[in-house]
Amino acid sequence: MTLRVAFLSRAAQQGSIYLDVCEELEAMRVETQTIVVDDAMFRMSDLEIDADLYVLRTRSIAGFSAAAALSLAGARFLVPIERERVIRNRFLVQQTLIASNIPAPRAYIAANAAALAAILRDRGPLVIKPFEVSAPKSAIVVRHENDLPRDMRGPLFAQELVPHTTADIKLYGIGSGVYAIRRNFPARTREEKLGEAIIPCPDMIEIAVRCRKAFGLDLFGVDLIESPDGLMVVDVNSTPGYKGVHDAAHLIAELLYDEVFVEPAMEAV
Amino acid sequence: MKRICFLMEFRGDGYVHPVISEVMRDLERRGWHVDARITENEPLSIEDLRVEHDLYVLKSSSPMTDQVAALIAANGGRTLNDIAAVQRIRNKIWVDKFLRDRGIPIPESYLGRATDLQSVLEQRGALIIKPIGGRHGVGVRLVRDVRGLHEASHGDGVYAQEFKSGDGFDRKIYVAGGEVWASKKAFASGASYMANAQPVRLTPEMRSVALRIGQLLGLEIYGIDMIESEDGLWVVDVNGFPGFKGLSGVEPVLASYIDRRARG
Repeated sequence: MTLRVAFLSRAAQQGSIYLDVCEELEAMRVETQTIVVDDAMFRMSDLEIDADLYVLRTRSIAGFSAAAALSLAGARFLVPIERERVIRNRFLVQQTLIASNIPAPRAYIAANAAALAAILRDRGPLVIKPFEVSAPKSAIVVRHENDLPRDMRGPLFAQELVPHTTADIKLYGIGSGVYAIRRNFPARTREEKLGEAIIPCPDMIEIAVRCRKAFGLDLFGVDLIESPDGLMVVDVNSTPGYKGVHDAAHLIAELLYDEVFVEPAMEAV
Repeated sequence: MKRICFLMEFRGDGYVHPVISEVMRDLERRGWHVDARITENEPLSIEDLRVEHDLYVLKSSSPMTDQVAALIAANGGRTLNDIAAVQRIRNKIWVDKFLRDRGIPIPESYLGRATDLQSVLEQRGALIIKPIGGRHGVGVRLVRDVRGLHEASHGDGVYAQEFKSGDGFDRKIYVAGGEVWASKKAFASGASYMANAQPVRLTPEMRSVALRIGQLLGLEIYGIDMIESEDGLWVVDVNGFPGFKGLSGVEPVLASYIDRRARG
């Protein structure tokens, strides 16, 4: 029996680790398929499920919608749609971090940037981000009221800017494995983006384990800062790019192989 | 604690919702302390968010209200409608697939880009194009040619429904706690929610389909847009707490239902 893993993605990106993951899976005799969601058309009355496992790789709303419909049609996703919905929403991520006692900067929900003026005066600089990870605009740091962007529509996620070292730490999870990369911010060159692999300290491992449990993810990334009060989580995402993680493609392929082959067999038993 | 909070949408200074203001007065006569909040007015600390009401009534369907309601629910608060059901209906594609597979009559539909939908348009003659994340009918367009298709989609993926011609009026079916009303409104992109509806006869089929949709989606107070076409009755949209404007006898039913739900 031939098994197949399908990736729902945006247009193929040069250098994406998931191209290497596909090669690894093919070597394990697992067929792979990449569905470029933005170039595909789905007829709701006739959705075909022809893969044993789907991996949602695009952050677009169209991609999420297609995944939700395929899921209803019986498609099995690596990350169930309900968990995917949480991880794509920074408010729900923050709520989950708080409920799981995972350290993170204080955060606010606001209808627009102007509404944050009072918080900016009382609490100091803010990092403002769209609440949906699908939104194209990235984070901005605002230190003064006059700099609050007029054109940023809400709901907005605003995080207090916590003093921290200039290097960011990216934790990556693959199954029960935890990998850490130290990266200078902002990273511009390819070398800077790859960063430096470091041995995760016990606090990092603790945070990664709690995040994996809290969000129910096997493939995840956690952005950390080193503040005077210790490590803090500033972002969490699923199926990240794993830049700088040695042998990540092989490790991910093994995890997907287990998921598509071993897990159903276990369920059958 | 005997408190109910209505999360309302800002409709301009001094605006009072005719139906909801009467419902609030009715609830106060029943002994409830009733608050009304516009979530857009002030930012909230996610850490400090506290549940201070027995029930939060989600009259607003704004993105901000959806997010605040999700945080309230995550902190143990109760919302009407259940925010989980509200979040489900925000995803038009999911609702389409879910209801279609359960026998609800929904026009043939597609998710794709304008270039992919051209051949469908040629076959069908006309399509209704809806933005995937839209609300209040904003951005909804009837397109009959390729140019209109491209203008309506802005290069993004869109949800496209086969056009069902009726008499030019959408049937607006309103449900609250098992009671059903029918009305009709001419479609007006992005503004139809402000207009009063005209009462229309509720057929047994409309009633049955509307109640079944509520059961399937977990909605309690909701609206269904339907088209009465030559080839039958079609469901074209599902909304959370509607305005109920222009219908008689709605307020006591709403107040009674909210009262019951707030008591648990």
